[in-house]
Amino acid sequence: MSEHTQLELLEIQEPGPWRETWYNLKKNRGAMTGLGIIIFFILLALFAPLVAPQDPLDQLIEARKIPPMTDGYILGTDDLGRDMLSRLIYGARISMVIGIVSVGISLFFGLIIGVVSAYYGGILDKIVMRVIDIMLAFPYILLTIVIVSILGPSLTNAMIAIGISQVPKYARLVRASVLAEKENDYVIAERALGASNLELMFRTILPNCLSATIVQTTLGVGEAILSSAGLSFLGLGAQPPTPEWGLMIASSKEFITNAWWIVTLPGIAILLAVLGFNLFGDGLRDILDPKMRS
Amino acid sequence: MKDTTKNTNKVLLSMEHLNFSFNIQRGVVKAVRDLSLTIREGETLTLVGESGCGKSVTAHAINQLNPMPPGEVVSGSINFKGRDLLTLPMHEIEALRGTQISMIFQEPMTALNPVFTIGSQIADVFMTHQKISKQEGLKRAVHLLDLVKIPSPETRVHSYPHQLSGGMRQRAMIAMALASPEPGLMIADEPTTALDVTIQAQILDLLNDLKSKVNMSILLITHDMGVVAEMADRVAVMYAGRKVEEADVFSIFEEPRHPYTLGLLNSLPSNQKYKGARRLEAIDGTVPDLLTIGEGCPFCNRCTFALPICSKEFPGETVITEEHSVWCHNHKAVEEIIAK
Amino acid sequence: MSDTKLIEVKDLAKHFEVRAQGAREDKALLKAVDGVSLDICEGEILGIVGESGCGKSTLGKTVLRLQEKTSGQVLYRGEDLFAMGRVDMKEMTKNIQMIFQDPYSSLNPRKKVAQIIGQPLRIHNAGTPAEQITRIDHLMDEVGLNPKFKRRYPHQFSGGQRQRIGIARALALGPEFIVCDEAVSALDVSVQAQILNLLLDLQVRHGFTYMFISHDLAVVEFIATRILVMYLGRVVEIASKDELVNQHVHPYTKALFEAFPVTDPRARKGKKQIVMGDVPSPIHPPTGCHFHPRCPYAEPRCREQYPPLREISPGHSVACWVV
Repeated sequence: MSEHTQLELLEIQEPGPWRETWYNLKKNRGAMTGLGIIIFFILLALFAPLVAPQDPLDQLIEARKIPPMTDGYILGTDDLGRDMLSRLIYGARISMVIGIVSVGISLFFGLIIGVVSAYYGGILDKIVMRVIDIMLAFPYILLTIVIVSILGPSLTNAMIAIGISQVPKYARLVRASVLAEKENDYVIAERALGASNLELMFRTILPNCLSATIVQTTLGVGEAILSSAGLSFLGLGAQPPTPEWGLMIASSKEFITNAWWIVTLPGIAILLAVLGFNLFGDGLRDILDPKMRS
Repeated sequence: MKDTTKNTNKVLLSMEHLNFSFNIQRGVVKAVRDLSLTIREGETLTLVGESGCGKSVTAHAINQLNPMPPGEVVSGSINFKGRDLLTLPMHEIEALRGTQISMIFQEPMTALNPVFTIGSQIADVFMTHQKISKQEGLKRAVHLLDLVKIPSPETRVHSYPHQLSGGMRQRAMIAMALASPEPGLMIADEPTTALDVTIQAQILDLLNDLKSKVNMSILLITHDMGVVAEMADRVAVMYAGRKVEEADVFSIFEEPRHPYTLGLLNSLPSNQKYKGARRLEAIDGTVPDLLTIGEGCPFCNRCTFALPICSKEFPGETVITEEHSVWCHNHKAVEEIIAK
Repeated sequence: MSDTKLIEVKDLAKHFEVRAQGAREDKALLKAVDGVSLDICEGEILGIVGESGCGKSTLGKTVLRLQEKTSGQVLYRGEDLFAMGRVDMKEMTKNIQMIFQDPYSSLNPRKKVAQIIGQPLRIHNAGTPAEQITRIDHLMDEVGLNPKFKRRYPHQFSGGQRQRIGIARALALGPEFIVCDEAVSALDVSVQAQILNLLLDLQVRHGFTYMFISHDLAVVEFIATRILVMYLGRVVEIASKDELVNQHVHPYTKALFEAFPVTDPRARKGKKQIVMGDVPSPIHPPTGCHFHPRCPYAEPRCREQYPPLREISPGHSVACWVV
């Protein structure tokens, strides 16, 4: 056909959608800083046994409350003589797991509920949305506390509680973008080709709704880390002697006047981790939200 | 048939060698290249072309509605009543907008303020130019709504834009354009594209009617050759940022000299020669990417008349008659085709 | 063209519940398609014209059962589409397909061209993966796209090329009947001509039957063999193309032809008779004949009763009390 030759004149190499996102991301300084922090913490978490100078649970009664940069303890020791640096590194491991697992739980249920509810609409959608409204009306921390008290305080249960308490947020977000996306002709076109409802929901519509969800997921990991620290601080999450950042703050709060580093350093660790995810999430939003490409 | 070309009339606006570019991430889009136009008093000049040909950018360059940056006037001038619009300070441009240069858009909903009644929006235009009361302004608004044939203007004057149909909104926009003390130039950017044909006919009729009542020039931007045939006195055909042919409306339809104009007319399924035919003479290929366009004629890759020189340099003007000019290296070939 | 009826639409209606604008009633019924009957014979191109809100797109989607009906029947070779179960309906999608208006929203932006065109083959397990790839190349070639671009995303193509992708996708399973819903309306004139030619070429090669929906009278007049005019959910006139173009009798059809801009400046109509008024809202259509408030020939009877569609000459039916 004669159009072939014309088409070849238009040969301009354009990148695929993911590569374009990465290209734009590289130019966003905030997002790259955030990504750097996230990678740093993930590496720490992965290689904790190799990086940590000591066992985080090893107590040394004669070396209690040693200030940072003294006697070979880079970040000092806590009130039981455990190495702060090692505890913080192992803490990264716990926080990353909490963040990813609990967001994973929220995302899994949120996506299914949101997609199904928006796709089918009608009565089902109305019921689901009212339930979600009720869940959102509960103060978030109260909801988490209720769930933990039912399941019993432990790190695993804290993850589940945080995960469940965030499901409504994801369900709503996904529902909104599915509602917008399912009006597009390509959905009708693929239905006309004989695609099943399942295929339409999860292979056709969902991938086009992911950009908003990815942003929320990234921000959500930071939030989850913060929440788990809060729960542990209240005694509803990790139990001693687990080197969890929130728990570390809680169990050493009385030393704030005479051994500041025991309280402050885990706080800074939390701050950095959450900041990393927030910076990255905000950067992603800037890139993905103005509906991808022109 | 009256001769619609009024050579004797004064020139209202003259655009000289305008070059307008957009600097975007991937490079420089030369949206309008070396474009000269004149609009005389009381005439309708139509800019016709397909998407991306630069017709809207040209119109927006006149009242400076192009976003700048990324838009940039590279060179050229636009003289309106003796002043170069491109060198005027912004507040003087703003004063001109809506008074001597008014604009109607494809989608009037975006141009009307949704929280005010159309009456008060029209009255506001009066009140910015004359010291009159709101009451008096509304009274004149009713008169204008009547002029643009909105039924029961006394009640419609209190309507909000969303309460009107698309055709009514477009009429209200036209009324607003007429509210200025001296409506010199009306720029109509695809004014009927969003409307149904029966409504389109009403609006086109209204515009023609008003033009003879008020001494107004119209710069009409459209992609629809039907609208061109109904409205234009003179026509400038644009392709990929360049003006390729300019003539009075009869010459454009009956004796086109540019291969693109010819192709455009042949692409119309309403063309008389297709009575009973099952195939159109389409132009092959697609419009080139403005980013990668060179110095040659932008149409050369789709042109059946192309010569080797066409891809290297853009042709100069060939004057055919006083009113008819073409920019083509091989316009003689088109002439032979038409003669057959 | 044969006389075998491929599609029979019998008294089809599709109503939507919409939120009313007024405060008193909270729900209103939008009768997008209100009792439409038509037949389409094999090899025919039935053009459907009408202005926005006349229900022509809804009709197209309902005929393919892309949405459920309110009442009526759609028969494909005598089989009722709406009586079919899920498995039969999926089989049926091999025979009936659709081409959409907007080449931007009708292609999934996250799929490559090969995936888009190959999707119907995958859904219906048509052939081995290797055969599917050959088929995709063949389809792209057939619609005038170079197969070497199959790994690109839709946004890397121009509007006309995207429309070709949509056509290739509709062709993949070898359908008999294709609904073209404003298939060329979003395209530039020169590209529109290419696509019209392509659609006609394909029809000759494969013997397709089209239902060609458009608001553009010139396009329908060019491509169709028979034309149906709709106004506010109902058929007002239907006839063979030549008869409808030259001897239309319904006042609305007359108004449409009168209003349509002719591409000849010498035929400029000056003070022509233009039908006044707006298209009424399909939520509250006028009583009786929906066109009577705008109709210059309206009689008292038109206000009270909707005129039935009656045949005035073989193959030419019109719904009007006055003619």
